[in-house]
Amino acid sequence: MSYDVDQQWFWRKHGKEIHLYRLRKGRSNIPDNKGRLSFDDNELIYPDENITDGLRIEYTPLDLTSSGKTFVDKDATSNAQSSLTAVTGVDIKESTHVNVNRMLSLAIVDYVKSMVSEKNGDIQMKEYYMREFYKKLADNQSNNKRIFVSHSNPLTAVR
Amino acid sequence: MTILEIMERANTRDTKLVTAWIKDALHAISSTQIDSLKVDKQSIVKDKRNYLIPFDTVSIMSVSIKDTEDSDKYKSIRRLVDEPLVTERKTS
Repeated sequence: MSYDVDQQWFWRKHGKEIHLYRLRKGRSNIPDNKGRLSFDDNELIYPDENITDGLRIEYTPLDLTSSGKTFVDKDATSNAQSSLTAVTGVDIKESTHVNVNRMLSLAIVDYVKSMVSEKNGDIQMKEYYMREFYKKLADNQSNNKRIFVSHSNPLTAVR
Repeated sequence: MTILEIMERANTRDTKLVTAWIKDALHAISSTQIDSLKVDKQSIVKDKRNYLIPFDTVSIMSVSIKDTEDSDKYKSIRRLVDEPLVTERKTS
């Protein structure tokens, strides 16, 4: 039975894997079977029990939409996500929509312009459009946040 | 926005190449934006410490363990910064 998991369990990333450890707390005032006292008996051990669905990993996926609808048949900005049908493989045509909001669509345009510039050997323009691309990504991210800043009037301020 | 509109704005006509670039752009976006999150659950097996990270992971947001003595709540656990002192154990 797992308990106090937030205190006792730890993880570590190791290549394509996660390593899980549990902290086993010991007592340093009880001698071991050889009569030796340890300064610290706390140690990290491998998981010592079976837990069904015990590990939960929350992550950002490669696919921008968790439903797998990256390319869709209708405009994502004016239709409900549930009404969109995913378009994949050879079915992707010029009339296919990219399932992102307006700001990210404009960012994609900059990315494509950047790649076109690179193909034409114009590295300066490539870098310019890449900057525009990342600028729009930053805008898109900051548009989701509202920060309130309040200033109090100093005592000596004219009222 | 349709692929055609993107092509027109970028002044290019190669549909297949533009589609590939759009996919690349989407990958670049997903590695910097937190727009969608996915959850993967795996069973913990006694004496097994290594568990696979889902193949489509860009970045890990949190790792949690089920607390079976607290209504099966998943509680976020801390990440070890350093390698543990005992790096491997002899398995039987």
